[in-house]
Amino acid sequence: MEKLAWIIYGYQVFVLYYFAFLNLLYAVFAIFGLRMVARYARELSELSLKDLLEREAYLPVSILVPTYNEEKSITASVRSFLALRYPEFEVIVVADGPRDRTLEVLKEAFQLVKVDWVFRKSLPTKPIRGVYRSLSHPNLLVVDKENGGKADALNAGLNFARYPLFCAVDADSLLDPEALLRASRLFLEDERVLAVGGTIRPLNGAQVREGIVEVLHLPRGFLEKMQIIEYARAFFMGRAGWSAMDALLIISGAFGLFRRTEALRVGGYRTDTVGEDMELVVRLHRRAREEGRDYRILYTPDPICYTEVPSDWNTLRRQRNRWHRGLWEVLWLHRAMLFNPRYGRLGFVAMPYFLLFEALGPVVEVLGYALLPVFYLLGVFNPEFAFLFLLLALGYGILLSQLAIGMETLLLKRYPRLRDRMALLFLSLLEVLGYRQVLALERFLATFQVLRKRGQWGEMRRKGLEG
Amino acid sequence: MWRRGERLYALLVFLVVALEALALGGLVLVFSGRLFGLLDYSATRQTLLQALFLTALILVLLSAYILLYHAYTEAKELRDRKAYEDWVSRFARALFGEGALPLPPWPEPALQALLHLRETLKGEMGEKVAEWIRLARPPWVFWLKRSWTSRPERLEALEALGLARLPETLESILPYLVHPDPVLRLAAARAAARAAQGEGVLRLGEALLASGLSKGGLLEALLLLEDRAEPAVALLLDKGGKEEVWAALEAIGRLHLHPLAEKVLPFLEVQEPEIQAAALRALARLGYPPLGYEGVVLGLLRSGEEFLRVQATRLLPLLPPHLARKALWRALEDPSFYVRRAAAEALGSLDPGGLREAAETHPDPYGRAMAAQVLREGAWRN
Amino acid sequence: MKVLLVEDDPVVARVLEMALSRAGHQVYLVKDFPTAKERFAEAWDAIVLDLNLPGGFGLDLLRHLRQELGKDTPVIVLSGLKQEKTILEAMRLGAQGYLSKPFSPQELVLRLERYVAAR
Repeated sequence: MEKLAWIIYGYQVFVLYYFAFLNLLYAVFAIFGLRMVARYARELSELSLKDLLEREAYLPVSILVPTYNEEKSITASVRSFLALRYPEFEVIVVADGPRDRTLEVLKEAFQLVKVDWVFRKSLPTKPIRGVYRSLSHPNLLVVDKENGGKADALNAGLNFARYPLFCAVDADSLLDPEALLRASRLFLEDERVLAVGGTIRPLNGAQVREGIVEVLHLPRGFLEKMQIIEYARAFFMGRAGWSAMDALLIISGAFGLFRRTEALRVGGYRTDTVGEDMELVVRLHRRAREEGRDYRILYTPDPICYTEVPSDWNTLRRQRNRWHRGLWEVLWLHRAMLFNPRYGRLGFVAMPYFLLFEALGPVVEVLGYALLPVFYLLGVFNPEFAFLFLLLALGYGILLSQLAIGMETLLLKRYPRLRDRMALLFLSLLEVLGYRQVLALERFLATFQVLRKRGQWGEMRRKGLEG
Repeated sequence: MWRRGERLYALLVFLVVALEALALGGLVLVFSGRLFGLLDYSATRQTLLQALFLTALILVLLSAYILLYHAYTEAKELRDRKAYEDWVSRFARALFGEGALPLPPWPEPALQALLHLRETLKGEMGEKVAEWIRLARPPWVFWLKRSWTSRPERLEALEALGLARLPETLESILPYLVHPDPVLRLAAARAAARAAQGEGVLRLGEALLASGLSKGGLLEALLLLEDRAEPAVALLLDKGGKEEVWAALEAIGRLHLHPLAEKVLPFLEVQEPEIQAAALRALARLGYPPLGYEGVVLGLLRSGEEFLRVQATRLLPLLPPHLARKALWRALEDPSFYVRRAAAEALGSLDPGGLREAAETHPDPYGRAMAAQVLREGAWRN
Repeated sequence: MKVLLVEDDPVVARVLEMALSRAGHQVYLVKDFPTAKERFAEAWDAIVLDLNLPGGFGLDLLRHLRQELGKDTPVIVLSGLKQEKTILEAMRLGAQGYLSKPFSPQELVLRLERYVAAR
């Protein structure tokens, strides 16, 4: 019996090690991220952006907008893309065989005419049904194709893109008018840059006029408020930190800028995974490293993309489930990189981190909670101890959120009301009391779904291209 | 932009992280100790409580700082903005002869207002603003010369000097073009390009040669020189390495520096695809026929590099018509999609009848298709 | 005369307002694309148009004025953009003049008066 108690205690200590190590890593991120965000903020001046706009030293961009059933919002979205402040760009909307009136709506709104378009089939995709040009907006191209999923739609868009840079967005992304300027500048300054990711922020609660976010307010919904904190953490601590360490593995599908030739060289997006955005980035890293090239893949905090986040539990859980499955799929596809010295920091730090802490994290967490009643039944449950430990764990969770909110305050200060700031700080307390646990459970379940489905990838007939 | 109070925040974060690491380290030690029977329960409990207390303290501290910072900067920014608008009005009125100005020294928002005015106005009013800037005796040159200035201050100073465009400040900016920090070098190049006048442009050119900036940075600096650029561009073209020459060629095209067009021609023969492409682009933008180099251009149409063939194709309309038409016809057979496209577009601009002919009778099916496509696009555009 | 000033930069707006009112004209300022579009419906003697506006591009406003509203109000474009193609596009769309920044306010006022007088 004592042996058992010892083992169980040992497990608790293991959880502590895991937790301690994880938090130490977060701390490292916090420092790296802060340094990187601060340096960036100092270096990029408004003046240099204005120059980029006013003179001709820029790289033209093709914006790829994959869309499925989005008849209600697609017009507003496309209009907002067309209104971006950038000297030269094209918008390619790829309608992935929509079942609703998305295509008809576009035809009416933008005076589309069907054209015979000669294009280069660099990437294999589902067949193209028609290509349309707009009479009112010469830089808008609409491609109608058979349904093949988001990755397939993006690949089709890539076949039509003609500019050296392309920007992959979600149909419901709302880009800050200067987002392209800020992101593309990095490609000009450094030729080694292959891809750039920006900051994604929840749009819910914002005051939008004519496609521009004027003021950010806290949304009413509890879930949405939680996600604001989550996104702040994910970007200002997570992505910033990884980018500063030169090991950024994720660029959101909602907004990412890439060099077209590089993406084509590695074969475009993979259509057999739900994590196609992360997968492309990992593949870019991998290929560049294998070729021994000097390259950069960056996150910069400045270019901002707003996106509607789920406001109800079901949609949210489905989204997180999908994200987690995508993560597992990518880790599996590129498992050769784990602890492989050929991939440097990626193989030894980034990939293992994502495996042990992001992918397996929910498992450890849920098991941790699930074992509590077991301990109780075995009579080795110490309520005071468990409670204190739990408090501590939660405390660290809150700390992270507050650091992220602090970063946001200093850098962007987009939530101008003090009241909102206080609310955010307070809400980070609530986040760890239920919200986080529910999502951990969802991701835990996703892990098992993935383990079961290994071998049956297909998720192509997704119900709508949810962002 | 980085605001005040961030150094303090950074310090706070370090403190927080250090305390956290300490607490966690302590916990790990104590728990491990307990695991191996070295410590008893009360020790672990105590450590746990201590860690908890520390965390709670940190949280309160952090929250308080964030809220205070937010409130403070909000008030300050409001005040500064109001002050800035006031000063803009004051200076604007003074420019039109109404209202007197208080004597310097003027506060920071006034300097911002002046810089913005200087950026916007030229001629007599622009010079008046320049005088006021001098009168205000701004600290920028001083900051640049001082050795213990922080990096953000240097960047701020360089940007301000760039906006101020005072020719006498060029001396202080040029040394930064060889600074070890690449960000400062670029910022200095841009500032110097704005400030340089007359003979200063040549000195800037020399500094650019020594700077080792990337070709993008060099190009930016040259573009900022606008119509003063010629001496610097000529210098880079004559004496520069690969990066400098590329930037100079691009600048000639974008700034339409016709007097230098002749100097571009020899670069068509340099065995460097990037340079040759830049030369071709420049000639195309200028609309300058490559007299004496027609053979070279035609030779480039057979180059292994696709982008070189594309640029050469785009230049063909500037060749004698019979040569051009023949070459474009051949280019429509090129294996590369982009070359065929460029050929069709060039043929369309040179000789629409020829394009129609190509759409119908060209031997290569892809060539025909491309010609037809471009024809359709042209019709659709009109 | 009644002049509509479409400009989001406060410094430029201030200077132009002063220059125009000192020359005896009535100036109305709008700062973004959608408001400008609304105001275009009214009668103006002249318009000064910036291109980089929040909410849209100035040339689209010009197109709207000339083609959809069918008005021939004299327009001077005042912008930091210096690309030849932008200038050509503006003239093609029917702008009477194009001034780039930095500019001279007196020059702008004189030109504007000349264009209005020439109608």
